[in-house]
Amino acid sequence: MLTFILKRLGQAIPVLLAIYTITFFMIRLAPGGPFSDERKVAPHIIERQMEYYGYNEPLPVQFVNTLVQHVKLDLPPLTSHIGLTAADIISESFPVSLELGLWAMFIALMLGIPAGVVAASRQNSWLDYTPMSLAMTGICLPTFVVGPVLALVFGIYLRWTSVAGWAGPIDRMLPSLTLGLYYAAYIARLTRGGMLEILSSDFVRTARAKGASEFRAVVVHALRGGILPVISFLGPALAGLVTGSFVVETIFQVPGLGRHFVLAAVNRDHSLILSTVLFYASLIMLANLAVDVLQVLLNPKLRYK
Amino acid sequence: MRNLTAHYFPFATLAVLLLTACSNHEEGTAIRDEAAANSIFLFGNSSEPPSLDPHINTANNGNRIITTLIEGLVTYHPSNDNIAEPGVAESWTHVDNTIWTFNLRKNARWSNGDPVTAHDFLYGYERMLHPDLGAKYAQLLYLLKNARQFNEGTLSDFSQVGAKALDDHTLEITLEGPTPYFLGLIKHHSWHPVHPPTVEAAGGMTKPDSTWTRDNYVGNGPYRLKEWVISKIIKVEKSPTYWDAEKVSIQEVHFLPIDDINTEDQMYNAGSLHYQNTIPTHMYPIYQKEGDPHLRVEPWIGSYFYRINTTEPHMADKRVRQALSLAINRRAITKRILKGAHFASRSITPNGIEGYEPPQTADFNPKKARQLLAEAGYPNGEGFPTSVLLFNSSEQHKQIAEAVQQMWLNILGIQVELRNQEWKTYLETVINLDYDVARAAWIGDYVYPDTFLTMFRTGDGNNNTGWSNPTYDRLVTDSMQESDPQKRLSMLAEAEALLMDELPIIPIYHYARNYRIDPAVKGWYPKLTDNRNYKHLRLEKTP
Amino acid sequence: MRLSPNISVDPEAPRSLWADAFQRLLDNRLALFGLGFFVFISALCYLGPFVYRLNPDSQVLALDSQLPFANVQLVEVRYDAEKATPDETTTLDDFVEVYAKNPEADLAALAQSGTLVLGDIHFRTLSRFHLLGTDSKGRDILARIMRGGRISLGVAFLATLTALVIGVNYGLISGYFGGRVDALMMRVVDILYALPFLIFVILLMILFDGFRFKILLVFIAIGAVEWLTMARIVRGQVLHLKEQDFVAAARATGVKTFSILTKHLAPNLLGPVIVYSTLLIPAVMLLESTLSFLGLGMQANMASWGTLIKEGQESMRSAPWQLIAPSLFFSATLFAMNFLGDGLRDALDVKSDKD
Repeated sequence: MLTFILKRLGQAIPVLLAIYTITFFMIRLAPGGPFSDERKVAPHIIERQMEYYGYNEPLPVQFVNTLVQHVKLDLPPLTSHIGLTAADIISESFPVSLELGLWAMFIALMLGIPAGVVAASRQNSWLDYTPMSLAMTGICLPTFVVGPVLALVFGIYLRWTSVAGWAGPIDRMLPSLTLGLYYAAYIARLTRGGMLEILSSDFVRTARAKGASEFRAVVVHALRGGILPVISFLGPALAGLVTGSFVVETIFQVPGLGRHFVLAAVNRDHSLILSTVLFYASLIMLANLAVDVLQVLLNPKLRYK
Repeated sequence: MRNLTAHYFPFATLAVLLLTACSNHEEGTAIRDEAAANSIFLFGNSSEPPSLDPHINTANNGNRIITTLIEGLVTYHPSNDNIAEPGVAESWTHVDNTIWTFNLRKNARWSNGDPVTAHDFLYGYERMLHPDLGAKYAQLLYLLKNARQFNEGTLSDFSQVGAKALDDHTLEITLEGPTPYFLGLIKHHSWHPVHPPTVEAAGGMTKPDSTWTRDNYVGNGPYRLKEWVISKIIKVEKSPTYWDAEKVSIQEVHFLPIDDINTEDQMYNAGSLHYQNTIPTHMYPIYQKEGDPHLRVEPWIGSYFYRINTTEPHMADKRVRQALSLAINRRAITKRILKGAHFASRSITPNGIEGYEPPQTADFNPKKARQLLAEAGYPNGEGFPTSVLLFNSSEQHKQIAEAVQQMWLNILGIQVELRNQEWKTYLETVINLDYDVARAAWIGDYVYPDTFLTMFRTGDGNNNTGWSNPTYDRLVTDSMQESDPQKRLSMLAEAEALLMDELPIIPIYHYARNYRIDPAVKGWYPKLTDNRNYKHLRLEKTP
Repeated sequence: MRLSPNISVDPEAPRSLWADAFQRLLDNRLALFGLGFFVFISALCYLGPFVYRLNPDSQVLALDSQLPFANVQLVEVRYDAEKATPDETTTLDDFVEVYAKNPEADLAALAQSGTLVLGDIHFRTLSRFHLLGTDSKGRDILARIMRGGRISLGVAFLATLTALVIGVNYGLISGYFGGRVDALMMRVVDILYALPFLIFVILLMILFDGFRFKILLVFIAIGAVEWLTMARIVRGQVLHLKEQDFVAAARATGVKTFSILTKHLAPNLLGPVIVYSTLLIPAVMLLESTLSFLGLGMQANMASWGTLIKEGQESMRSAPWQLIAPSLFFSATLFAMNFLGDGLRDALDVKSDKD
């Protein structure tokens, strides 16, 4: 297993290098630079800033320099947060995004699995349609609509939660719910699919024949196997939750990494964009690796390949 | 808000829920009341400033925070922009508005206890102007004698720049020419001092990304930096070393960077803020109708206008530009799209500048517009090339652009293609003159017409229209050497009249500041520049 | 981030796969409803404008936001009598406020004859009915929804088509040739799977925002993200099919590779491809709406459903119907497409029907 993990980590290097290359040239080719301002900045000032932040070297030299800086984890200074590096931003904001992602995942599982189980146990009946329709809300309404509506209802009208912010535990509720709803739909679908397959398999039929109650048959016997597809979805889902939370972070004023990423792109902070993209990519690869390992641990029939 | 009745069945349930939800905001005052009781001012500050360094920052949200942390020679008066409130300088004299002498108070202290001296100001000017620091707003100091040469690197001896310390507490400043509004200018933080030992310890005077503002912020203002959590909050607290500390009433100000204006609006409604920076346009009429006592609408020294690229052959004829201007129904735009939250304008310079009556361009007149366009060779818009109307992506700019597009189509028969670009791309497109018509805005730096008029001189970095007129250039440039204030203003008025006839830019509206502030905040008065000194504010619980 | 559902089609299906599948689809009322609704929405968006003839761009600023079922009286203002398009279209209130010299008499005259001349200016009344009300600039919401639907559906279909063309060809080649080619090609897919794609889409949209043919970028960005799953599904299918007797027979009789691919393999891929495409369309529509929220969607004059929802969301507290109306259409379409896709998958998945 160790060799498997090491091999996968080894494979990550060319991938990261490719991502670095694509991102580097993409941001350098894009119109608009980090030093332009609404008011004209004198050319000699821009020149000086470019020199200081290393933008006036030939492109290949910059390419190598920045790469070396990232390899050494000695990140270049930022232009949108003067005096900081991407490491400061990521270490401050990523834990927030991660926490939001985990809460959202929790909510998605709590909503998605029951919905999927109920739906599968009564295929093509109203007990199938209703929970699936409810679960589907999350993928049929954009988050930027769900979020403000939830804020209006729970924050302003009912006054159960705050409208925005990230101070107390209560502030976690709405952003996690908004983000979680989206994934609940996928989890419900996967659970339903997995359960349908298991429910039609022999051992559940045997259990039923032996007189096990329907509830027992479904929950005790089938659920264990039925949620396997959900587990393999967890890795990509968590990565998606953490990297895809910028809309929710903006609406609910959450100081997470997603908001930083979008602002970095808007402000043309090349260093912050590059570092964040590389960080996200590493994260996704780690999540995928973790899921692969987990799957083998759960299902010994699979082998490391 | 209109009355929703139940027979609009499909919409009824949700709509009613939404409506009750939004009309319910009066109750929510808990968080800000508690904060007010602790003398904490909760301030919605749009977004996180890139820096709190007075010589690096260019953003308005940073300006507000720096104003609390560092004090200049003179500072903002609570209600009148034309009055300079003494800051570090106790008194001052001037000769012909050109040579200024400031007497610094002896009890001014940095937050680490060091005295504030005239040398600290010189250090600040040298740092701001030093070519190696690369300060983007260095140009604001160019009216200091020889400052430009020093900044551009043709002069390396700072002692030749027009600022010197006669002793520790006397500062003499020599300007390039008479500047009657000089005191208004030096309220800006680009003229503020920094604490030399702190800046030196953090890598020296000219380090562009010096971290002294983040690690060890030494200021001389009424407040000092307490906490800075990136993208979450910046807290400042009352500084015990400030010379006028007993006048400072509010103990802490919390600046919250809130990017989304609807989120900010909701937070205000939920009672989490004392000050809301921006009111979403669609909510403005609702608050106004409700007679919300928190709502403020005050004239601001800013203009919203359309630039016209005069280097495009079809835009080179001034009759075309006049036709375009005459076909814009400004009343409809300000009343309907902006919901009356701003003021229709027919001049670039806003009203309210003492002694200056801005010359106006002609008002909405479709018939005249068509006539001028026909004279220019495009009867009914025939043969007029499809033009690009550029704006930076934003709901409001889009709405105005769509309205103008429709007016030009209906009235003049010309086709306009809308193009929205994201901010930095838009800036580059405008500078490269890669547009026909482009949305623009300008907020004045000080209360004097030339803050709006100098930029349309030939080749000015902010001209961006390709327009050039020798008479205009001469009027504006000569006015800057004129010491008779009356004559000076009339030269500028003559220049603006020319601008409003030639129309390389089409004025659309003058900005108002629309915001909400808790009536518990006392001492907050309307100001044309919207710059405040927080030391004059108080928080009182209203019953 | 990649949320393409697992799709497996049991290759050991009986020959009557299509007939069976169709029967199963008929059993799934929700999926049928989805199909019906989707047809209805498409018809509405494409044929609706022939019946409901209001121009989605025609503004009446003075009208402001109107509630659904609004019947409004308007005044056309012309500064030249013979001009075809009015110089301004406004409301009676606004007419009184701006133009009328003697409000009551002028209004009465206008009401009586429908036209009026004051000074040089000519006025004419007209009335309009707005089924779903108007937006803040007095534009008809239903007309905008119909056009927005054409744009949204168009984008979704084209982006899906892009993903389809790339994915199917890639998977077909990879699966059919197998061996090293397959290993290499799948390696590339694995690598691309590790890219933070949403991040790249955002980056692409922000950085190349000024690009004139931005709509192309949307297709490319979305299509490029989504073809990977398609390629994997097709490859898996092909790997299995090529071991089947009929392919072996075709090969043995010397049928050319190209025609094996097109004539024998491609038709058997139809099922999974349809299922996946059906599920991809709503996903693409949702992505496009998110881009609109960030202000990175279509150009200003191409208001998609995403754009309309974003506009509605901004004013949701002052004019909720401007959010509710486009959201209803959008969500209902997404629901329909998702149910249809799920239903098709259930129908084509033989395993779930062995009971």
